[in-house]
Amino acid sequence: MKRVIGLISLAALGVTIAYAQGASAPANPGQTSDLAQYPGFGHNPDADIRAHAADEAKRQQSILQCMKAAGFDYHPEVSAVVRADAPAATRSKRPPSKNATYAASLTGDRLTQYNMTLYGIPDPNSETNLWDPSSPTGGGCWGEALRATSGVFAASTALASDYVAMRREANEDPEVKTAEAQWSSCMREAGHNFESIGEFNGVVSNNGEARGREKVSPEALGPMKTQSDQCLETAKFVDVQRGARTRAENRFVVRHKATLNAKRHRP
Amino acid sequence: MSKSPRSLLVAKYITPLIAFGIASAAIPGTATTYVPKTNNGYGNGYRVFLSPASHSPDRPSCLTADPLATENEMAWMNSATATNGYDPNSLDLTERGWTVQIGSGTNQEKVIQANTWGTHIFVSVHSNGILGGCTTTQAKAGTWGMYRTSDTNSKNLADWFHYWVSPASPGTNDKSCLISTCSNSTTLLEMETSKAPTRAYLEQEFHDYQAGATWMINNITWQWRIAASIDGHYGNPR
Repeated sequence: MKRVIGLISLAALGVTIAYAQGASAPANPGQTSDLAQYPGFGHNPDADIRAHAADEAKRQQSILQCMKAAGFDYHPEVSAVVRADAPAATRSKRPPSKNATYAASLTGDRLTQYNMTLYGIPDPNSETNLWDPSSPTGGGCWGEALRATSGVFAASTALASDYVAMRREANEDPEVKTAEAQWSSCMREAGHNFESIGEFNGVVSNNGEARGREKVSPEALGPMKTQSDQCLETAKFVDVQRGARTRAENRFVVRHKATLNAKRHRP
Repeated sequence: MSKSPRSLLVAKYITPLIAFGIASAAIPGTATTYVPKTNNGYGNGYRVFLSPASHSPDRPSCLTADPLATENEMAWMNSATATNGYDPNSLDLTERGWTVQIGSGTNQEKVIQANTWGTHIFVSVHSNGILGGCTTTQAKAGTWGMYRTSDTNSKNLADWFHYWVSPASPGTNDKSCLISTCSNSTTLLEMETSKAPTRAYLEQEFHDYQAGATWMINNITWQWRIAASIDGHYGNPR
């Protein structure tokens, strides 16, 4: 049975969500990343998911009150989480929504009034007029709820581009490049010509196909992967990459301390 | 490429289909988050938001007798299959280490979901149509990866969609193109309002082209190509 967890139950039960500060993902075991103290950056994804669920529940309650006060029905709806050990997705209709059903029952001015109250815009499916959730004004009941509860991912949303740049910076770290070159050399000696580990990952993940390369036969992929694991070990690539990532994250924290602190999650 | 008849699909997956139907009905949800299947559930640290079409009213395809063969439903199904698919011969997004959220609700709600989740890649998943009915021909149909003006990240991902998804789709007018040249809009505000560093738009195929609609609803062996595109855009991080 698929493990789909309805997260509203957390809020319904009054569970307090505490973010386990400093609990790091396996990406950096034994090393200290200054980014680990900030929720929403993947050092404790389970805590992030729980905190996000609690944020959503708060917002939904706020929207419920706001819509009720304006004379509209509203049904709090929250995210579901599908765990890593869940069986594969199946092909069925998308999950139903009571709010969508209710909105579909409204017509004319009443529908426009509903949309203006809930979203602050007349048509929430417009491709030319949507409300910007980061706006300090507007957004109807949603806007009020978001301004009251910015959420665990507020900082990581604001810094998403900088985060990606930091990850790329870590990949370009001289120590990482040296280790990757050692891996590449080790692979070449075994008859496999790859410049980068990313390129290799692509070949393995795409059944031997890769952009700009001749297809590798499926039978060759297993032994190639075994060889790569040995070469990664020889080059100590994983440790080197972890170190570079931690240093890059520490620099990221220095660069963005003001934003990180200003948008830090306060449950 | 090989095709999977719908009857085979239903027979093979009837049990999980029922299971998912029950789960879905019990938990409406505004969105669904999928945890990676690698690195003990931690994955590669990046978050992908798939935003399936939410037209109101929904747009029918050639296959009018099939309630699942509409633009909204096919966009949702293929987003789910790309995320957590069941083709044992290929890797979906979660198997590659991506954390994925599939948005639901209106365009406005999906933008809110994406912007409160620290999204790194935002992909609108749709299907194309010209005149409705079954009027589009193979020569006009195909997969389109669409990108924003002056956005190299957006163009790069659209190019990856063109590279991986286009060869599998039955139409031959595949392309990677600017939104303003491939659609009636100069911009698509769902993508403009998202804050993700990379945003692109995938028109899987044409739903008013018979073979295109059939491919989107009956074939379960190509959605890994969406995963391969996103993976390729970021250099296959693990």
